[in-house]
Amino acid sequence: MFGFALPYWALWWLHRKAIDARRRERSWRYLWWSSLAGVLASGMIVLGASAALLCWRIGVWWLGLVFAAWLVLPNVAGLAVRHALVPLGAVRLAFYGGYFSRPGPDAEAFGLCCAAWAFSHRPTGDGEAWLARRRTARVPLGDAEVAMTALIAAGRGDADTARQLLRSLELLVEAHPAVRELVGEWLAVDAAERGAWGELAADAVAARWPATPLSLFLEGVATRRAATAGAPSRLELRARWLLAPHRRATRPLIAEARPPAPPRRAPGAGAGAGAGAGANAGDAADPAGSTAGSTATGSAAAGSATTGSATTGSATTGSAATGSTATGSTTTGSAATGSTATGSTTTGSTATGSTATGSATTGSATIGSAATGSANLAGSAANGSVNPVGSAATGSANPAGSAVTGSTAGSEPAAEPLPRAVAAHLAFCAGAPSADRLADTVRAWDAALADPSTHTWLARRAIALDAPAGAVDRALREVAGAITDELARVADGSRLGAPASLGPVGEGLARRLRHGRLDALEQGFTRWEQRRHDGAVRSSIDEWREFIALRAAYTDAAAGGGGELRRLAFPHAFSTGSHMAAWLWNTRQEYVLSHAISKWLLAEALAVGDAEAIELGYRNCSLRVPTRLGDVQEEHP
Amino acid sequence: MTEPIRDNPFFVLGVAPDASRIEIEREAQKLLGMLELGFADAQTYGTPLGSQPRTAEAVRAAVAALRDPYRRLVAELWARHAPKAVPAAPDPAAPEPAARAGLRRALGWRP
Repeated sequence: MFGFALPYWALWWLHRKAIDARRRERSWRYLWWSSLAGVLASGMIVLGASAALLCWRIGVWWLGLVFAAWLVLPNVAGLAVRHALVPLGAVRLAFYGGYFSRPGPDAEAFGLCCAAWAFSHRPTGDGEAWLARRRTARVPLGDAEVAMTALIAAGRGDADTARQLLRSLELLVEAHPAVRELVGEWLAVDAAERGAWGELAADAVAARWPATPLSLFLEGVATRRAATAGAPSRLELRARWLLAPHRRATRPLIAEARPPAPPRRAPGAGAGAGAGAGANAGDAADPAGSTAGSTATGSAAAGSATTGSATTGSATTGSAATGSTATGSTTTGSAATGSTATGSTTTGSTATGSTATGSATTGSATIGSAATGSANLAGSAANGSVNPVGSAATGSANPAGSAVTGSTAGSEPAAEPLPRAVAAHLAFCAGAPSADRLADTVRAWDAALADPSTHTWLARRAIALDAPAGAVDRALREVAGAITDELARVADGSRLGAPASLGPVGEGLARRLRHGRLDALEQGFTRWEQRRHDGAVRSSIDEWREFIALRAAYTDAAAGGGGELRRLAFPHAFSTGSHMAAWLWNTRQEYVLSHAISKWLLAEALAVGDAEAIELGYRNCSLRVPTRLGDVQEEHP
Repeated sequence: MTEPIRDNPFFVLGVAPDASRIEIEREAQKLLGMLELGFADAQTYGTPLGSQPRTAEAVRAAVAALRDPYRRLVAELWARHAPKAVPAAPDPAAPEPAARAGLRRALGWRP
């Protein structure tokens, strides 16, 4: 038997090495390692089958069966799981198939994921109960338990929850390579179905998940479509397609895997002159500005008086100005004292609420252009002279003169800004909400409501209609309030940030969104922590789900409210998060979850520049984390 | 913010923003009569947001609103400055139509 055992063991060892090497690759070498692994697996099957046949021939058939089960089955179990057991929805068989495919240490983790994958094809109550029992028995929680919960959610048709849970695995230090491969494949297929090729290309560039042949092919399609660096050639993409399963379904994607055609310039586009150019410059500058604002916040909290663990107002000094200046927002009052520690952002934008012009920029060209564009827009809104909507009517004559001189009760009031604002508003409500459209609408309203022609027209009509005293101001307030309510509702629903605009609508909208989101976040985090005191202990997976829901809400709020809101929200999030992390570590022995929470808090502390939180975060994150695959200790600079 | 446009008294009554009080009352009486008789032409009214159903209650509410000078002022502000029609602009941020329904299922995953 040694004649079989030694070569078999050598093949098995080489096969494992080839698979491990493949997981680190995303180029041609991936294909070579895959081919080698395939050849080695075939060799093992041949050897195992030969041993079993020999036993059969010499009369010890039972030993032949043992050899077949031991040497052959593990090499075909992976294929059997994917192509037979999972489509059949055989939960338990898929578990054992995954278990015996020998994916490495802690094979049960992969087996459970295969079982959940099978469950997602044919969900049954019995299967779900069985999976839940197996999951509960595994303490502490790790990446496999989160992944199988996600697949169970997918089986119920809840793709959003599945996506959110699977994405959360990035925070967990316990990493079963085979589980991560499944996770990466689900996310790749999901992104392909949604047409989120940019998201998939970003995953590929960051190499977030070890690739399966299918996810490698889809990543190739995505990177070619996004024209990112490292995109495979057409030939390599073909090779990836040949290696991947479900070739009939993926064949049409090969034809689509080409970079998007560059947009054609309309003839005479350059002759659009002043107005269009200005609007385009502003639009183009927005992303750069927001990026600058978000990235420039790290070192700005030098003077933040962070005394307690997390409840101090660390978010106030100076840093508020950094996040807002690039986009031209005006953080009136509150926190904008204006001193920034970073070298590339502007200072002291509009602490007084007057205008945002003249925000001096230093540093890169993109930041400079962003600040210039936004300053123009803000300035125009305050002056009320230029239409901030941009496109067609920019640069048109100031309507104030004609309105003052020519309007009568019955004639057209010639108040250009007001029709433009109404039109922008209706267009915003009719189409899909976007940050650009919201900004256009808000600026248009602020320009219209501040325009002298609007006031004049209202005053004339109020006199003509014999309206009560103060009707003009009341009407303006009422209109601004109604518009703000409507826009805040839409912006909140679509997770849009408040655009930078001076005026009753812009300022009211910023205030409304900031307060609403902060309140919601604080309530959420408080509820989360309160449960610790109430003794209402939930299962570990539910604790994790609650945390990632809160994290998502925090991220959305930070994305919508900008750096200022992020700094305001962080102290409370840090306080509750730190307590929960300590509780999970010390009381529940959920080391991986606790470490993930600490890691997220550290990242946020670095983003807002909270020195004390950073120090505590580094201490917590440098702890050795016990996992099923051994202790993990992450290095931090 | 579609209510001030959709339910605007001037659009409900189908009169111009500079219509006199007598014209408004006369139009309202005419519309109420037509609605009572079930005339198809009176069942709907046009707005920049498209056609809306007209009811006798809406007509009475519109007349009442326009009798109040302040409410008329606000209604006039909207009606006078509303565009004739608002074509839905294409969303520049919308993802390209590259989504493939059923691909997840075809590749062996759910849902």
